[in-house]
Amino acid sequence: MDTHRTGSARTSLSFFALAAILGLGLAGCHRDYSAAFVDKLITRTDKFFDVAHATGDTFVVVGYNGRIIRSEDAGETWAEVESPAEWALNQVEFKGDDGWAVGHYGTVLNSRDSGKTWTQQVSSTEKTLFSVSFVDKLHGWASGDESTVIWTDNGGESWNAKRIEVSQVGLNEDMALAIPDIMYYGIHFVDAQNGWMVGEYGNVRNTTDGGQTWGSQHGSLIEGLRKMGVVASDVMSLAAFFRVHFTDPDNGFIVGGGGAVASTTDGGQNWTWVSRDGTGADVPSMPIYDLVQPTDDGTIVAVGSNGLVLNADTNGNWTQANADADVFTWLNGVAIADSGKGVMVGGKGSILLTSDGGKTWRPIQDQ
Amino acid sequence: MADETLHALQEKPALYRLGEGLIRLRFPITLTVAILTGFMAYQASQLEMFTQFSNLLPYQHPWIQVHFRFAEQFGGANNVNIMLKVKEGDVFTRELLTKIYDMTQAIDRVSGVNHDQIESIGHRTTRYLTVLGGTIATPPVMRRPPKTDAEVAEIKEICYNDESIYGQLVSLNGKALLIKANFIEGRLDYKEIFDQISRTVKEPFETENHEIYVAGEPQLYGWIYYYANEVFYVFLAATLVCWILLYLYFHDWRGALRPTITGIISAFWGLGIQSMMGFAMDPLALVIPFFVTARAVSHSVQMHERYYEEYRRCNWNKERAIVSAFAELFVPTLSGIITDSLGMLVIIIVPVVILQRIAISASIWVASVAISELLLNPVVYYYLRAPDREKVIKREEGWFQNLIGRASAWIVVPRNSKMIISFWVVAFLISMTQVRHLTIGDPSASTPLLHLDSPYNQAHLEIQRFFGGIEPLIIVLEGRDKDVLKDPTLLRNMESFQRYMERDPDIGYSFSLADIIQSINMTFYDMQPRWGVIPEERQKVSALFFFFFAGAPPGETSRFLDPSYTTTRVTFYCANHQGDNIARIMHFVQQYVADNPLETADYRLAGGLIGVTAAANEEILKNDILMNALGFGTIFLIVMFTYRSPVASLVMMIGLFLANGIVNAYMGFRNIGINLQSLPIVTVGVGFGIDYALYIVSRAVEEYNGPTVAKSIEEYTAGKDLSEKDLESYRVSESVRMGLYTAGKAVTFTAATLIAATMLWAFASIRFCSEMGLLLALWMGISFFGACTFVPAALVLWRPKFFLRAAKEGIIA
Repeated sequence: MDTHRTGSARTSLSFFALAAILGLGLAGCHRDYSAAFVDKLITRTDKFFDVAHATGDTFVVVGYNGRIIRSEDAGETWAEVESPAEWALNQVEFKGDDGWAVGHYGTVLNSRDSGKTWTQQVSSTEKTLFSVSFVDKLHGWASGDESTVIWTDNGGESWNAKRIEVSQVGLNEDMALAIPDIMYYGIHFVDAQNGWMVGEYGNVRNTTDGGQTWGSQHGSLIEGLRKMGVVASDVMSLAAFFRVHFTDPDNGFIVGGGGAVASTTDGGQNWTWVSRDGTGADVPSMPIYDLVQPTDDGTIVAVGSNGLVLNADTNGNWTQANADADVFTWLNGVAIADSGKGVMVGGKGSILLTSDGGKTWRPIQDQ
Repeated sequence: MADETLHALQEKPALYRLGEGLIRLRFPITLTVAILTGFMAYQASQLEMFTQFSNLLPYQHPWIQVHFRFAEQFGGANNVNIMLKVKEGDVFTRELLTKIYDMTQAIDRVSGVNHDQIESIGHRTTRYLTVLGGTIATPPVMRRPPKTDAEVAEIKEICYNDESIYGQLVSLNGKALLIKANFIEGRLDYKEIFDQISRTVKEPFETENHEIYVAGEPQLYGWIYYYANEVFYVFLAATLVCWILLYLYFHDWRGALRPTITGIISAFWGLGIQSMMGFAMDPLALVIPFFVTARAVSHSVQMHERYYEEYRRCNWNKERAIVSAFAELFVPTLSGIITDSLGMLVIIIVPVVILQRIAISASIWVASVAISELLLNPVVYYYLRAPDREKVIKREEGWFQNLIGRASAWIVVPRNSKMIISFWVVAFLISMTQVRHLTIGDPSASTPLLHLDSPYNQAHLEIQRFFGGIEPLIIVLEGRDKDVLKDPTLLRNMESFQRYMERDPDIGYSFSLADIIQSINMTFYDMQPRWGVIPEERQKVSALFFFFFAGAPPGETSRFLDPSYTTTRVTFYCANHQGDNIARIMHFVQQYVADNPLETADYRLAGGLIGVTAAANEEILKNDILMNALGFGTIFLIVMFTYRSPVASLVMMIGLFLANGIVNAYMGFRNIGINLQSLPIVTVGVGFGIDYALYIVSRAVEEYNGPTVAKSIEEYTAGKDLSEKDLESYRVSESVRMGLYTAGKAVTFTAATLIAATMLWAFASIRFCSEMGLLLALWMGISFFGACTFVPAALVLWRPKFFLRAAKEGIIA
């Protein structure tokens, strides 16, 4: 009898233990979650503001949050580059292995190794810089918010800043007061002397002395508006220009808001409207943000909002290209190397590639 | 024979007297019960069926309190998502934009919709940013359907440029449009919403090329109501199966229908009390009444079986048989009912209104079984014609009885008992290893409440495919002072929060004031994407917000930011609400908040469907163990009091532990999560097992001193000289055998019948009901085997003290 009792007591103890294990099994469901994060290089929240070709098949993309990514195989695969920038980078430019990127809050970065490493330069401004242009490894200019222009003659070891006075062309006194400062979204120099700068309210400025003095060139554009029958033909009716590009001191293009495209063959003495507000060419009334001339034959590739890609042939016929990809967001930067390989970038982490000088485009693989 | 009855009278005199008294007072008892039941039946007929969303939430949980505080401003958890998809071409055609506009107007007219919380490119509150006359304006994307192709092109340009539209209301591939409508919490009529959406938003607009998908919680409940009628047919079929099996078992209709009386009376009481307390019936809780009724039937089968037996034993004296059956079964029936009832009541500890209501009404329902089984029982039998003698005798010789007889004899052989015990120990250990697969919350991306191929789940998955995530998790950012949200560091903090969370694969995308400020900045400055940044300086932020608020009515901006710049939200759109994923997402949210303390504001968790589900899951996880402990603890105590021994509880509960383990393993295997709906049902199961054991053990105790055992001992000891110990062990195994032969037979029949009836639930369109049906069938099956094999084996092998004492002194001293 006694042995039975101790036996059942022992059994009951083991039952208790089993019950306790069961309880603990239910309770102890704590997991290690750290492996769950998936870190993709490119996501739909990425905003890429510009791309530049360095050398060979190397391309460098800059964008939101000071991000820099780099490809050595013409855009097929990308790698993150450590960026010293705290703020968004707006544009990047390369002369061989030497590159510069400019961005918000006066940020200027420099690379000497085709974009592998970057260092911060002292830009002597806190204004947002939108555009940068170098003619060689030493001479460069950058333009930005509040009529700011900075320049260097030593590759950015030191930068000089200057505020460009507002052009009074086409402005009455009231308006001149209302528009104290212009944002210069685009700057381009063809040599150490000749450069152009474009920005808000149709501003087109040029220099022939390496940026010491700046003239105004948008008179001919306002004249062009009158000819087109626009009643209120002053700077207020001019959209912002985002980009200027010259192949030589005479021939250049500007693009901007509302599908604005203008061209010149005399260094900007006279600008002619190629398209504006959806008229004049097969260009929709949408912002155009960037353009390149991939080869010397004069063809153009331009990009804009809503996945807009434009091609212009040597005769100046502009057509909407059919980018073979479902890209509906803005495209803000395009770069094409002499090899015909090129990259365009934009919002929602968009990166598209070409290998035929910009005639056809395809999206990159997920990475 | 007279001696036997006398003996029994001496054993439980009070209960016999009670039984006789009840028969004497049959008229007043019948009248009282009839009146009360009539009243309850009336009350039950007033019961409504609806689900109040807030009742599903654990109201004490801090996340739920945040949800309640901000739901009106930032959107609640009741969102309907309607996707309009084109098979060919893109959505930017006059026909399709007109369609989305008309559909949006239609959803705006559905009752209960929050008119300021509809997001669709066809709704007035969905605005885009633009510059008009030098300042920011936020006109609606569409004021009316487009009339020209130029207008279509304009809408297309707007949609693809606006961060709050592209990817959120227009799919990234341009082939689908989404309408998100938030419904005001409170008493939502899901059935009505479902009908109205089908009739006015879906059906008129669907064509060959234009497919419409509807998902979201209100729609899900709508589908469940839609299927709820089917539950009635399952119920009916189950009842029919029960009747047929009961007829086959008892060989007459009185036996077949007699348990129905108990079922109906208790149902009236259960539903009546539920209605009187102002509770409504949740369609998902519809399985519970079925199982409670099953319990009632289970008790009355025991009673009826015993009545037959006593009728024969008492020499066809009906009144004596009634009293004797009543008195002998009083203790196991009462303790069975009490454990069942308290077992249901423990659910009350989960602070979720609907569970507490289920706990109260179901425990009262179960308790009311006592009215018909104990109070009314002798009276019913008194009025009911006694069974035919031939039939009673014939039953004793049927194949079923033979089978039970052979099984009983096999079980009590000590060698077999040892085998049984080792089998259970191994099974228990194996099931233990499976338990950890159990998930709290929903185990799959689509809703586990409905079958994967149901239209609802198909719609849900299709919308997820086009929009990545549609189920919101809302984290509120509450400033400690006014104007704090003009601080760019807070905006940047929210943005890095978003980027941090988006690394989780189940966060589709996110949206916050940080996105809005970037859009405003870009729009204000020439639509130049390079301006799409958070300004570096506070005054710039302030100026941009000023322009923004100047351009839109307060009702439409407050869902992002209140006018005092104090509170805003970060919304994460999650791909699914799988329990594991929610737990992980909330873990990351809490980690980010802890690692990034703010000086001027605090993140408040959490709203949206994901937030409230996370809170519910947490609450279940927290209470699941406690509830199991309480549920098992209650049973443990009741059995312990009945038999004055904790060992008694353990022996009888081992089957329950095992069933619990195996059911959990099954749930893990079948991907059934423990959530608000399955929790009460799993708890119902706990009580089933113990009843079986209680009936068998109490009968074995009774048989210990009974004439059959005495006779068989006489035969066994004839010509032998047995030790006291050997004699006792033979006596125990004989009484256990008799317990199995009699009570075990009824238990086997009940279990088989209920399992058969429960299996019918497998055909329900509501996957939840079918899964729960299978689950409970499994539960009943395992605890039945436990009660019929492990318990007798343990008694035979160990001859526990409680058993001998109960046999010698009576169960309750």
